[in-house]
Amino acid sequence: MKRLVIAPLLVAAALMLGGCLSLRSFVDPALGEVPSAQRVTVAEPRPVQLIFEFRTQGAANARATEMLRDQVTDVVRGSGLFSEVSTSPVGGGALLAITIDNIPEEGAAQAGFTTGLTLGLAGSTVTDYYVANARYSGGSAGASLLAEKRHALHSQIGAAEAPANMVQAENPEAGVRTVVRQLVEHLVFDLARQPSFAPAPAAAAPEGAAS
Amino acid sequence: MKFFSFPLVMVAVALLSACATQLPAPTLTFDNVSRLRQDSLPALALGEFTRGPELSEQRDRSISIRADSLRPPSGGTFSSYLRSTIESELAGAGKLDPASIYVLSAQLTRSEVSTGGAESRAALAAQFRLTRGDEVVYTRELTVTDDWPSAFMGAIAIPDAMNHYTGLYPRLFGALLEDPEFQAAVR
Repeated sequence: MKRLVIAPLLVAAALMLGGCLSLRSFVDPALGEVPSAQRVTVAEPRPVQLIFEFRTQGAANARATEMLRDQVTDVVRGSGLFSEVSTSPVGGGALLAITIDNIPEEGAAQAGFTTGLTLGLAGSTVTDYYVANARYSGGSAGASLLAEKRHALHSQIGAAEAPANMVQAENPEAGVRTVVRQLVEHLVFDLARQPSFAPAPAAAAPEGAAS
Repeated sequence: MKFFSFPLVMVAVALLSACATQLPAPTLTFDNVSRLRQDSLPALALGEFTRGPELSEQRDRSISIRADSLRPPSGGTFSSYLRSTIESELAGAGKLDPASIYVLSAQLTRSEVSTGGAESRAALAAQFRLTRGDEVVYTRELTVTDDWPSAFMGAIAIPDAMNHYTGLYPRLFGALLEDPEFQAAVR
């Protein structure tokens, strides 16, 4: 878990006081789910080779990558935009690279000192930011398609009001996995809506499809 | 409550006792796979990857990062981890062929991480060797380094250092692919 979120770990490390303090995670609502109208379909899905990398403050994080790879693969596969998702080269040569970089909020450790000194009475809310990029090459000559999305996971330690308009995640890992799922879904459908994504024209999914 | 105590325990463990962390299997990197796909590089076979005389056997099996130590997967060596990294990248680009006339081998000559002060640094070097049949067509030592600001707390600094160190392996292979002498040797 500590490999997927950093900010609360900074706080916890700063506390070093023990005691009964809980960590609550909230998925930022700004990005949300991909609206049905934006979930396009392609007439002839093609196979794609997927490369996924999770980074922590810009540095490749192999353990977190390993932890999340299956989920990311499932999300890409579940989009229905590709006939096959593989880590090996595929017929046609299409390549999709997805990178998610976890960047902790500045000053998270300092926030922890305050919470620790007050034994949790002065709660801390810290944020992990996630910057996700996707690059897609259809395998033929031509420029790669690009997409970028940003997300955030807020973590609270000690006594603090829940952030407005946010639903608490079941646990921190569930929060991270929601962030990752929403990021990857937005990225692939952003790519798919670009005119050169597929040789066949994209068509809108029927109303009420996945949401 | 339990989610607070877990990271706290992890912090205490990192600060108070020595730990050993095992690297996961290498993963593909977009930069190297796309570079391999674009290049007119022929498929390669991989030969022996061993430690050079400059690198002790212990350093080839474990590297210390503050109170922690990092070890290759499955009780292997870092020189074999370099081989696995390159094997993974070549396979991911469709450029791995055990029957190829080109055989790439290497000796790991340097493997270092320093996280003592405010600035951390890691370095990795290998003496690469490419043969075509019985002929050595390329031999060169390549080095890659990384510098980054180091956190005071071990709970942050140690995993961060592990990430930066591990990231040097695909970068070292990338340095080989970008070397004009290597590119000339395979054409």
